[in-house]
Amino acid sequence: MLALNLATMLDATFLLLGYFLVTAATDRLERRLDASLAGEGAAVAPADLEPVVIEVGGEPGRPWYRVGERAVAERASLLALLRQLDPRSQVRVLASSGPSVEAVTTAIQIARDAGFTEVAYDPGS
Amino acid sequence: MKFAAAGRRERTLALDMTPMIDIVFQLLIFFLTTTQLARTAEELLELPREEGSNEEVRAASAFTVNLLADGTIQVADREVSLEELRRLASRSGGEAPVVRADRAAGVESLNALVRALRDAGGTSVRLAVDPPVDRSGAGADAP
Repeated sequence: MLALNLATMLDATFLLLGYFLVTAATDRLERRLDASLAGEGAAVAPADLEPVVIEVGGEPGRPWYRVGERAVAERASLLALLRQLDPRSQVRVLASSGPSVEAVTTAIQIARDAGFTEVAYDPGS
Repeated sequence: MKFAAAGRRERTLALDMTPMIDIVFQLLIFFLTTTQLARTAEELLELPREEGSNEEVRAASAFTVNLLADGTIQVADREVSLEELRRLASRSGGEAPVVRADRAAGVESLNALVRALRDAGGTSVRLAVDPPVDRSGAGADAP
């Protein structure tokens, strides 16, 4: 008769199972939003195209985005506005004091969604 | 009959489980430790909810900077000043640093941080974002 005491092995197995369950539940996947830095080393836009400047302002939770003379507060409006422009242009995102980081990432994301490949972030001087 | 009964010995196979359990626990401790070490560079932050780029998920980067909601800058679980950040970034090599900024942090803190990275010779940044689970809300108005 083969007597195997499996209790300890089961203990260890359930410990491992519990550990991986817990870590899998809290392990969120992150992604990256790439932006070159305006000023030094930023990709050069074609000479015949003016860079598109998105100015981000407002306050946390209530940002606005200004492109040229037009200021919009909604995500969809900014996307529609950018889609009217030539996506070969470079986009420069400028943020003045007031809004939160989320407004900046939103502007970069929308520029990318609109098809712009050269997106730069200008932190000012 | 008595011979047959006497010749049958009860044999038990004794398996020593101790070394296996030792190894299992060694493995457990190893994975626990390495996981903790790998996450020291990543603070628990509320990242901006954006889709980000599709081509990369949790890529290891040479240099990760955390920006907390109150404007504190942390590198490898340690609070650093802008001057220290500049020094660390200049030694980190040519790879674009990953900036993990809390979505509620002020843009002034982000600007100061990015300026320090730019002064250290950086030409680009990778902003960490948290992709929303439900894509049906894409294109909705910003909160």
